[in-house]
Amino acid sequence: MKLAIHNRIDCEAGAFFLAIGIAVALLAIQYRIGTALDMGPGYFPLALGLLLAVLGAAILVRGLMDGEVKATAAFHTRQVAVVTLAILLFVLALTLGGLLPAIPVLVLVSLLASPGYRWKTALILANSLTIAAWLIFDVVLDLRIPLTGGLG
Amino acid sequence: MELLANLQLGFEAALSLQNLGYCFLGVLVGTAIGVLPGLGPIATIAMLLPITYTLEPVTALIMLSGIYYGAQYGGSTTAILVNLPGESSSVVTCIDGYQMARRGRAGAALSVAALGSFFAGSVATLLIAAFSPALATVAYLFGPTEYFALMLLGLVAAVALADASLLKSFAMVVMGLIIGLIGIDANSGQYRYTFGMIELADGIEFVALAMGLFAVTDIIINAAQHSDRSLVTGKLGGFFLTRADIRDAFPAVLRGTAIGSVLGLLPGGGAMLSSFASYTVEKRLSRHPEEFGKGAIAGVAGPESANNAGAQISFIPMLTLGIPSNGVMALMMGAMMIHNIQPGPQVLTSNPTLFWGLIASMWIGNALLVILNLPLISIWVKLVSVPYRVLFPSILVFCVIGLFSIDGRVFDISMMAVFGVLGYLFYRMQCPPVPLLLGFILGPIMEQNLRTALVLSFGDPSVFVRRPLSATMLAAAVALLVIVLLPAIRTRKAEVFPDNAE
Repeated sequence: MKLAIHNRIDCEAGAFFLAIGIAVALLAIQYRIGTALDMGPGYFPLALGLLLAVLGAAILVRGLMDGEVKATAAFHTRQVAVVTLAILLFVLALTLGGLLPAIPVLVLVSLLASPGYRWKTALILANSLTIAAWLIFDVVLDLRIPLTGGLG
Repeated sequence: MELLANLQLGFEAALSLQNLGYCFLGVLVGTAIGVLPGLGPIATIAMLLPITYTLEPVTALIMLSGIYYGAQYGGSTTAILVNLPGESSSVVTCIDGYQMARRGRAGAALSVAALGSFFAGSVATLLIAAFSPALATVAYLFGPTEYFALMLLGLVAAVALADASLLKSFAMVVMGLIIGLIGIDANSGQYRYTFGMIELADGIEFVALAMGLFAVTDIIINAAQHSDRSLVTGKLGGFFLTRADIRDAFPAVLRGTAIGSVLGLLPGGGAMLSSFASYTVEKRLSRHPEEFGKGAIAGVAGPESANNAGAQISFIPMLTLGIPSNGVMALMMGAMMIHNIQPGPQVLTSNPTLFWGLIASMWIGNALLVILNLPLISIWVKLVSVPYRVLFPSILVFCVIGLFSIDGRVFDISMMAVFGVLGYLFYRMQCPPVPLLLGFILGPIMEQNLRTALVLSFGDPSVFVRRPLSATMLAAAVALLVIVLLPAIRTRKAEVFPDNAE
């Protein structure tokens, strides 16, 4: 018999929590558990992991039994990838070259997340945000973030 | 008379040039960001939190709460002008506010929203001042056992009253508690869930978590959309209210304030629940119920007063008991902890200037909002139409620099990206992120109280039901769960929250 999944949303959520709960519990038993009187570092985590696994299982079962069709929305692959990449490239640029080159990197890359990329507007935005950030964070707030040259 | 002396102390603190300035800046920036599309109050506060790190604790909290009610006010402005709620508590304002705007009465709708909010805010400020000390006295009777039970009750209530699937909300609370475990265990020195990363020893930076789950996730969701918003209304119309307006609106403001003051105490809904309840009440009591949905002024005045009262009253449990009743209060608690102030009853005695200064600043902030907003409305109108593709890179720039400025660690920025993606997965699975934030903030405090309670009872867990106060609170938590799970209430809840799909 093939099990038809109608409610994908709940099934995914349930499976996710079940998996995380089991992983947390498995890691917890590597720490000292102890007793209620003398709790080890693993006591509370083990309890939480098991609780999450139970909740996940309940959500999963409810999702499997649900006859109502609830499809998950299309995955925003492009947006997830672009935003993550933009932030990580910012980290890299900041580490290597300081804040002034890092901001344009973040702006120019992150703009790829929205449809209709226009170089000219992207460059204008990158420039104005760099100047604004410099004014706000360096001149006014004086946060002493290295502007150029990277982090030590 | 002690109340007057306390309020005087508060006003002296709040009216210092520096605090007044930051209060002004807070409501101004808060309103502006509340008007801008795509940033809710939690994301806004998370984004601006790092800027307040270098300030005095009182000043920081005054500015942050200014941002909070500023953002709320900005949310109602967009609800009225473009039919888009800036946040969940102004959803009902859209209904009649936007219809008023379409009839050329946007000015009157904005006026009544501002004045109603101001009235509600003033009453709420007085209520907080009057009742917080009493509640704090009760809280002094609490030991670790009672605290653990209270936090459990707070979490259960926040989950039960929120507008999402109960099981998923609970799973998210537990998720938050688990994420809160990451780092060195304070009792044993054991590294927990750090996966060999030394950067995780001190735990997850909570600003990175909040920015990731709220700001970055929103960007991932919204960046794909072409959402250039255009104003439908041509003319704002006059700001002055007619005699008929006042006759219709005033009782609604009074009732809204009362509803908000009661419901704001409950964890969970707070502002949103209050506004929905007020709209329902006004529609039922109105002599012209057919006007509702077509621009009834009471349909704006009631909910706007209610959500402001509710938002402000929700400070009471946070300030006196250390229990955050919603996401914003969780961030406020986090901000206090950064300044080494443990939220709870002791704040009142150990930091009276902070406590009363914050309360006084709420009234001042509300007054500033009225003075500020009506003249500046033309600027807010322009902000509404800022395209999202200009906005989201700006949000990212602000987040990453702010986050970096906290500790100077790029690791926190990467964590923000991780939580952004995680938040997106939760969004797809329709799991609400606020319970996770509450769990994350309360997790370490709960574990500590649980351990101490069990040590004091020699490992006997029955202490939680043997001590009357903690037994009462646990019973209340169970009762709340039973009530929520009863089928009758479930359908009722679905009525109050028409679209709980999101």
